[in-house]
Amino acid sequence: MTAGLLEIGVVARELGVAPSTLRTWERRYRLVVPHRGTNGERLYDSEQIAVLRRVLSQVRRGARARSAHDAARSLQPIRTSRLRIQPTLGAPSQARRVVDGLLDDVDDARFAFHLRLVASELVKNSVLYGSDREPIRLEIRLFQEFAELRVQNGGSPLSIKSLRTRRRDGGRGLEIIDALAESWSIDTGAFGTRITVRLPVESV
Amino acid sequence: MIQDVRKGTNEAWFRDLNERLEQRAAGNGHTRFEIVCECAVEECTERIEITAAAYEQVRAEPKDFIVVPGHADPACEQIVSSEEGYDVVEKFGDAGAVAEIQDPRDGKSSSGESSG
Repeated sequence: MTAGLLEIGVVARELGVAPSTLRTWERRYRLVVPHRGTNGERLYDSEQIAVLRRVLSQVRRGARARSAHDAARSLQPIRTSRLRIQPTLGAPSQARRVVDGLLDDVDDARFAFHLRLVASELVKNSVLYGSDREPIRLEIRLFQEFAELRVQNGGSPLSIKSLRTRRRDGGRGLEIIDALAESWSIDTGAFGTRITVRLPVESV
Repeated sequence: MIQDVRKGTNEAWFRDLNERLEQRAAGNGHTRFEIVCECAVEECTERIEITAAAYEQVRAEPKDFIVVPGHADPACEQIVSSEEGYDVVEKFGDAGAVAEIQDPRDGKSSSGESSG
């Protein structure tokens, strides 16, 4: 098993369906297409499992599999960008470019401005306080009405308190996040620190 | 000209952000807080510590902005005062027009009351 990914048997057991059902849905609807392991085995990430749960919830209420997939598809991001950035001084600028690429045809300059600002501030924090060896993982998912940013860095886990109190000597951005975000959260663990921010499209 | 408009727009968006930061600070009872430099360079997010009273004084003028010393752009703004830790600049030309049009106060104080 690859870290963070679950094999089809485990996922099927967890969801209470047969593995063949997951394979059939994958082939028919192409909504949840699992990763493949080194031997070609199907591996599901947590996001894919969450989508399958939504589908199953509808099916168990009597919906047909196709309409349950259509409904789940409408909650899927319009576009996603993922990038691993080396923790250098140029990392915040790279984060800005990721946003520009993602919003290439989105005609909302102020939203783009806010998204660039939040992405670069979070990445700046990762550069300042995260591991100086492990890459920073940036993921931005664009939905119809909001964008969700995830920035993850290795190193010792950071707490909100430490981020706020260390703000004055350079690590900062949380006030900006507070001011612009609809919601945000911080997760820590063996992987380091991950901050997730939801930014509304109508953020003014 | 287009460049001046873009600069003015960037600064106006930073001003909007600072308005939110001020509201949050006021909500927490802080009379001194940090804002983001309102210069034309989008990548600049340097912080400026300012009192609520000084901030309000600048915001009363729709063309005035608060920037880190050395960040004023002489092509579209002039320094009207230098304070401890920041300069106050007044925009002119197209950038000044954008600043006025996008003034979030639009004749109102931060509490939403009419200044007249």
